Amino acid sequence: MTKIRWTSGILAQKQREYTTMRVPLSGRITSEQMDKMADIAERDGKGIVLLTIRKSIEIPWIKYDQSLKVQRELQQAKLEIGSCGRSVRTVVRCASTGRCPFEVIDVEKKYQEITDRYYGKSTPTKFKTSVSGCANACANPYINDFGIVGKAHPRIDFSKCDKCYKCVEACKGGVFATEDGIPEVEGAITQEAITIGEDGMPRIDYDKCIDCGWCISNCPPGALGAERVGYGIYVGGRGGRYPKFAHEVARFVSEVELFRILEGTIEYFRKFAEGRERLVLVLERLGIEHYKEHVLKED
Amino acid sequence: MAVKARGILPQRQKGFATLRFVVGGQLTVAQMRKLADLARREGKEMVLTTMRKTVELPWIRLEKVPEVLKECAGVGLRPGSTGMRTVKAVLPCAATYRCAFEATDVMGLYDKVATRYFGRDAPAKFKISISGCPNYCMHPYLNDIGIVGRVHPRINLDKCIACGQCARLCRGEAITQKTEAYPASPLPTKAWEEAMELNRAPVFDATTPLDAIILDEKGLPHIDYDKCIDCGLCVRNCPTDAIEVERSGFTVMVGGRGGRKARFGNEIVRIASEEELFTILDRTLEYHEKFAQGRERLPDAIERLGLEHYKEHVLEGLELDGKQCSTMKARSG
Ligand code: SF4
Ligand code: SF4
Ligand code: SF4
Ligand code: SF4
Ligand code: SF4
Ligand code: SF4
Repeated sequence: MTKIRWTSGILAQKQREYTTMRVPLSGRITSEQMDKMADIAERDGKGIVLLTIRKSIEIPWIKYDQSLKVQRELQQAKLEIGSCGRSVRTVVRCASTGRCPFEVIDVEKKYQEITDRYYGKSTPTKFKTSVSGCANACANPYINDFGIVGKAHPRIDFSKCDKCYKCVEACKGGVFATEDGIPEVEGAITQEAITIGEDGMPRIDYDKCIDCGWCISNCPPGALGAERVGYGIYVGGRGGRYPKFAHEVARFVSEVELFRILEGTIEYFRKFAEGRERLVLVLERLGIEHYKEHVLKED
Repeated sequence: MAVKARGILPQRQKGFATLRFVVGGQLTVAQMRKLADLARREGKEMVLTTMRKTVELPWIRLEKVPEVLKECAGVGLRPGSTGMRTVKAVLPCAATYRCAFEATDVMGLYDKVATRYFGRDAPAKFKISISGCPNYCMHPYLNDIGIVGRVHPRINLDKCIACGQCARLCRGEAITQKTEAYPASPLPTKAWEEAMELNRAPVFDATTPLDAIILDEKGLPHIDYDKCIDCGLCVRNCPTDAIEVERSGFTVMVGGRGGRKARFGNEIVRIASEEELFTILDRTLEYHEKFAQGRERLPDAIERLGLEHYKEHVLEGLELDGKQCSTMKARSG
């Protein structure tokens, strides 16, 4: 017998006899899922769906006595409802999905791994994570409980450099045309971390560099490469009524470290939260040093 | 072929583009089917949604773009602005359709704001969001302009029956206390009841306890305006309409941004009327146009010139103070 998971995902509406089904998809919907949700919205709802800021889809105006049936139908189409209540919420990923010119890590893969391991796991209160594919941080890591940002540390191989200075322009936020001459991509950053040395070679000022990797993607002969690829980690931010920016707890860590810190942070949250306190409040109460001691310290 | 038209994003893969559509956070069934169909035929069987509630159709071959755009126009999908230096998709919260906290007509305002400003040229990208109430779901403080619906309450004790409902709501017990929030279920199983119990929490969790309403010894409510955030929840849920709207309108926050250089915006007006709101929006765009250096974003310009400089130029002659409630004036002063 299939047991219906009543975890969450059915939201009450102000119109008492209706509910809204929340389908966490984190911004990516297959054609099949889209058709399924269209069918349901047409038959059981009011012919519309809503998009949320965390990239879920909501199907509103489902008669509440139909909710069970609709949930089952969604499940059959591999659309789990959820992402409410006191648990690890949908992991928000930036829109890179392998096509954003700035992406330096495999956002899809990270999203999947984190989702498989943590999504829906119970926590003292909601726990929000996001993954951004580069230092542009489009998925707002600063207002999540746990924000992840992909980074690529650049290095110049001078033997390959032909002094075209595209990297200099890139780091200034220069505008690029793709080879077809169309459409334009504007570098989002304006770091000006690359200058031209006396020998005419480009030099990276690593104090200014934010490891966005944009220069790497724009070096025609491939003289610029990623020395390493890793992650920046932000902890304890939140949006909503009392917003607060997260603490940067790691500037550049490996994948193994990333998962160790994520695991540690969830454990820490479970252990130290009083009642339904958000992580941001735990950190305010106990101090970021307390967190660092418990989570970041190597055994 | 005018590929530089609006709504076409280059992909890192040569020869492909992603098409972006501005939909104000909602899709109709016809639009969904069209997108699914086009993704199957011309793309990679996927559709993306963004944090600004636009939809994107990735992996469209450049030569197919005009054709696909035409088909999309047929179901009312408007291409989104991807021009770097324009007013971006206006971001509304999902209130109108279901949210119990909505203090203003979000989609009504969205239509007006989007019609008037979306796609307009600016020195740098310019983001506007609309939240229906002070729960701030659309991060007003991370937008160039964040708009928030507010309702300032006043209790008319003549009508009050001392039921205590308003105080309970304001304490954050919200509608979970109203057991009549759900009618008797035609499916009165235990599973259903449990489900409703569980499912009640997420929506109504949204309120944080404020405790701005104090009951006196007679059980009559009094509002502590220092604590009240003008959410209007008490107004809408008083059974005898004893809580009236003294003033309603919009809070305006200015100069926030998300992403890499995230910065919180400042609240410049607590409750502006709709007319005042549009004056502020017009003038803010003019201000950005006039004072930005090069492609500077508004938050950077404000940081450079100071918030007072901005206020002098934008709020001049608006007489917002005189129109604020006395209680609010006392608080800000
Ligand atoms: S965070 Fe970086 S990779 Fe992701 S969408 Fe933004 S610019 Fe692209
Ligand atoms: S873009 Fe590459 S080749 Fe051109 S100057 Fe920079 S490092 Fe040298
Ligand atoms: S990786 Fe560093 S040097 Fe390269 S563009 Fe980004 S900030 Fe500039
Ligand atoms: S709680 Fe307020 S801001 Fe959030 S969706 Fe409802 S009306 Fe909009
Ligand atoms: S103001 Fe309304 S809700 Fe509050 S106690 Fe009086 S009657 Fe009840
Ligand atoms: S409007 Fe003020 S008094 Fe009324 S529920 Fe909201 S915060 Fe409480």
